[in-house]
Amino acid sequence: MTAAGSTTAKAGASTPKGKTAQSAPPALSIKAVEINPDCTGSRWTAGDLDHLARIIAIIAMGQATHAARIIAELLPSEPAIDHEALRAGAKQRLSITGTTKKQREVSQYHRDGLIFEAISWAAAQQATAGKALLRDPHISATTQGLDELMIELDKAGTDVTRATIFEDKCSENPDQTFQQKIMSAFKAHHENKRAPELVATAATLIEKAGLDGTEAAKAAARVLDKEFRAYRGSLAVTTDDDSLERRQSIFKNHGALKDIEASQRIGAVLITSGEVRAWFDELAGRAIAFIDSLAAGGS
Amino acid sequence: MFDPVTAAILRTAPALPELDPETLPETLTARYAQLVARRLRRAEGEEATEEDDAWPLARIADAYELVTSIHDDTDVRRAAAFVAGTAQQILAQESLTTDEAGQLPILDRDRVAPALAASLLFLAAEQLADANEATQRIRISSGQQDYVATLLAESTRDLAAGRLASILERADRRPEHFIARGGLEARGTAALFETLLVGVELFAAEVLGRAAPDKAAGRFDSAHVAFARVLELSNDTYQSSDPAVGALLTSYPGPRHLAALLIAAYAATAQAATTKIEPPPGVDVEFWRSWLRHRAATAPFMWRNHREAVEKGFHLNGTSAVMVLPTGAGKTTVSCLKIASVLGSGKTVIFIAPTHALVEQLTTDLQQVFPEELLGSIVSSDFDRLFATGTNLCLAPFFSTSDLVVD
Repeated sequence: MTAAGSTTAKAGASTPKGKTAQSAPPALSIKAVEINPDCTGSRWTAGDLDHLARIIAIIAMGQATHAARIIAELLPSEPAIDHEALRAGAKQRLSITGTTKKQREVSQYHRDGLIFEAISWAAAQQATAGKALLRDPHISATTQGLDELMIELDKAGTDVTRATIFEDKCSENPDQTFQQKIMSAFKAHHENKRAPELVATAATLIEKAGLDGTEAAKAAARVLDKEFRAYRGSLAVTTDDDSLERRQSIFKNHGALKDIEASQRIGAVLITSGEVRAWFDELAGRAIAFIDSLAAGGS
Repeated sequence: MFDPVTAAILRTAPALPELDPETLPETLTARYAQLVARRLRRAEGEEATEEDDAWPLARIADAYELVTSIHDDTDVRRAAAFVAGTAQQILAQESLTTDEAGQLPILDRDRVAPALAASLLFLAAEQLADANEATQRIRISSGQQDYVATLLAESTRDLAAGRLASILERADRRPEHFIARGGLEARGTAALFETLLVGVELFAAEVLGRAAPDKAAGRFDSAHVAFARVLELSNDTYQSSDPAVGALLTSYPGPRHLAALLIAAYAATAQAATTKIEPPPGVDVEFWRSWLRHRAATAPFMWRNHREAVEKGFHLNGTSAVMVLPTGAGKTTVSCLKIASVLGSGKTVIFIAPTHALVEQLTTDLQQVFPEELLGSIVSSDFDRLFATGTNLCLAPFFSTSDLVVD
């Protein structure tokens, strides 16, 4: 049987050689930090870089497995995707490709963006103890897309208590990236522009939550209600930007999203040790090494 | 802004927090008026922003589109789809919906462009004329998405516009396999879109009463099965023993949403296929089926009021009927069923119209509806030919109050 034939991957996919996942230290250290009265701050650092790399690898393997299942079931005439091809597919997403300098730059930009989305996903999972609904992190084909939508439900699992829109960006110029690109996306949502990505993603998450009938209709309305909305802008920055002053500078116009509380405006920073791109390269290398370490057939 | 029937359909939409469906016709009318006022102010160089309101048009459109995508009740989906489509149609008149300018993919892993969604929403609401009109706002710019997505968008547009024969022609000339740019996930996305394309092709073949095109034949039992397969395969869970990952939801929201909209459209319209009208007693079955297949090329779906007429036996031989409908509501369409029923039983039809001009116009129209090669005779406005061989459908101007059919 090919890997694509199984509905869910074996649990062993997440267990590296010689390590027990359950005892692993937290991948991220997440701390609440001050920004300004308009905005709630969150500061992320790598708690355990290997664990973080492993999470990124597992996500890539999960995505490759799902894609392989779709191909196997819908295009049975295509060659079967074995474990090696699956690992190669997962590794491809974490690798820089291209022959020209320009191609490699673009590839690195996409790769780092994907990894940062995975880190942002992991931060959300960790902060909500896995209780929130999120789709798998993947790069939207368009820059105007939605990086992530997180839906939180009440204890009964029927009422949406919060829908958080994520914008996650790696940039050499965090001030400009937040104040222009990210805020422009947030404002479009806040001003009720049509949001096809939000509709499609919310449909996926509400279905996943098992809601239907009246509960589903109510959830649909809540996801699109500013009262239950939060906007989390995240940036990967170096230790040079790891200060209250710098955060105040980066997120200075978050308050332009009117009629919501500070708790609904979230500014997050991932602090990389050393230069941002080099840090991502190191992380990608460790994630690829983890995928390589997965025993053929055993994962 | 809405006629009583339309307003009644809007009012059947599900209630949402702080949005009473009883007020939907008035709310949508008010939003439309506000939109026109903004447009006028902008034209005069003034600044005009949307009023702050809990339920602006875009939120109404998004929320009800979302309900259509996830609700389990067919009737609720139908009403929600109509509200969503109507809100989008109003919004599309404002230039702010610039993402339809062809600069973004019409379909990708994460989105279905609003104009394409709106045309399917109207189909799902069984509002065929609105669906056709909505297709005019669809902009498909090839190169913005994979080729399979371009073809799928084109065939979906044709579906909503009632151009089903075009879908089958496209099926004949399209490649059997598609090459997706990118890695495994791009191939997975392409496979989901290819399956939806096959589903749309099966949908078209079913409605037209034709054999499935070669590339779609045998792939799925029906269009619905193809769409449902995509809905099911678009989400998966990857179970990891690492608690930091847990159950990872992997997803293809764009294909999932499109599959849900197509399922709703299929549920609302497949039974409305013209080709599915049973042959009336005494009518040559082969003639009836051939004529319906011909008719379906230009009128693939029966409107709801037409189906009601058929359900009441309007088209049966020996059943006298009077039909009163406003202009454009399909008097001629329904009359054609009656005519086909009479012709199919080997009898002759006299079609009387009030003016010479109308006789000439209807003669041309009916010659297309009843072509000589199908009828074996000519539709004529020469009344003298009525008793001649080769004419069994004749049109004549109104000449007496005792005439049989008045259009």
